[in-house]
Amino acid sequence: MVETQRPHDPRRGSYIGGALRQRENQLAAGITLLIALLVALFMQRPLPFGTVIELAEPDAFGLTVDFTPLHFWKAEEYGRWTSEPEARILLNRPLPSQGTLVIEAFGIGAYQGVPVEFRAGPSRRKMAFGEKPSRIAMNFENAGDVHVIELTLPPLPDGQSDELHALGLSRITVAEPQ
Amino acid sequence: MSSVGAVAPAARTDARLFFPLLLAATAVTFILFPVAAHVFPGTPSLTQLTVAVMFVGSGGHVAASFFFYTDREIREKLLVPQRGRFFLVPVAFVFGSALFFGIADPVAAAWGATGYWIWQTHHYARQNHGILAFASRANAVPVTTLERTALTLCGVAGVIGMTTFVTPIAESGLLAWGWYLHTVALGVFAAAWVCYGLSLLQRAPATDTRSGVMLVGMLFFGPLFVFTDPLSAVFTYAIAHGLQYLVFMGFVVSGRRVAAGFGALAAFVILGGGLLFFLQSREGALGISAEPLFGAYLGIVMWHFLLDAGVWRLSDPFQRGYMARHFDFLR
Repeated sequence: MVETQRPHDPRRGSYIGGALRQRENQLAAGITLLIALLVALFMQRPLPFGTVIELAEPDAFGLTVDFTPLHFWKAEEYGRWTSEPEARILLNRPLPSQGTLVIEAFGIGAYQGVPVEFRAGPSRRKMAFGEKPSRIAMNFENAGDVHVIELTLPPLPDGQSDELHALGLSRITVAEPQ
Repeated sequence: MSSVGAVAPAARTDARLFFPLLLAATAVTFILFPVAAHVFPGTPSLTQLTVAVMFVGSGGHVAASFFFYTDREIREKLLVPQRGRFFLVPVAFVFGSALFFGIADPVAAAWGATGYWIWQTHHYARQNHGILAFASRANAVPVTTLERTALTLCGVAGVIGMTTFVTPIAESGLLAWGWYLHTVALGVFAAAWVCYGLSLLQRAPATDTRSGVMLVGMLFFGPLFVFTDPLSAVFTYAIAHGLQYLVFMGFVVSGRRVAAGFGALAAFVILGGGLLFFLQSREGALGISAEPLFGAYLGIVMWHFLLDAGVWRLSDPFQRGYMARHFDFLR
């Protein structure tokens, strides 16, 4: 709103041009770019083994976000239900070049005991979960940075009721290669 | 470098009222909103008070700025001579924004809203610079480059940090970048405080208005990095900005017949604020769907940005002279 008081700048042509000539703006732009670069470099470091992605964590903002679930319902105490046949978990940092994902999940409705495909980069595995939470391991090996874990539910057979048919995901642990 | 010069002590009566009022206006939301959200959540009286304060500090303050169009001197010497900037372009913004949000697909609309929020947060940061300039003038101590850099970095941190809270990041595709954006924002905010610390080496902190105003400016975007709910993290400072603005406008209108001036300002706040509240309703009205009305609402707020950037530009002689008649410490 209120413009700072400075001597009139006869070169001031446009708002942006004038702003770019001000020393504080040049300094701020340089510092911001440097920090953006440093954070980007940090984010290139793979997740360490032992990282646990807790799907029961409620939606959050900013720094408290460890991962971003897409196409899941809101978090409940035992995890999250998928809301669509294709669901994704976006990671802040890439997976290691190789390792094991230990997936703890359970099925409900038509998806009890039905193979669900999990993918991490080029690695993929179909796994079936029962009504009770169980753990299944999936080895992965990535050629490049992988920031997303995806899963695909098979199409529902015809004649299903309107009850919930979904996969409940509790947690995913990034473990050393097994 | 600054044009701030010495001010005679006799010409500081306004400063004794202005700056405490400004700090009090800032404190209202910085205390009320976190208390309403975290200490006594769901308390009806606090919720009603929060809504009332949000009404005055959001649409109410935007509408108050249109008071300048009723001021003959401002109108004849600033607004009409630059009718392109103060009439034609703003009206184009209103209709253009209504059209854009009326026809845009969700992704384009999300990016439009994100651009709007960036401009809005920049607008807040400019006001913080302006308040510091006022305080520096009142205390006859110029603003240093380090202090300007610190406040500018706070504004950059505010722009980057707010994207994860209030913009439609799922639709714009920025959702996956949320952690990155917020971390960069926090880093920039930390750098701002380093600059502030270095500025204190140049000029030791004092118990004067200027130091208080500078500290408030540094803390202004702090809620972004403390809270995880939008009301506490964003609307504390967003509505504080609006209440601060009303303090400015109170001094502007008090230069005329006081009762008439404040009456007119109150009418702008209530009626104009009511109109803006109506435009941003989610249901639409008058047979018009919600999107173009919301676009028009954003266009009117952008009009306010354009108007303010011109009227309060004190590096221009006319505006400086006009404001000096309303704020005696600027003389």
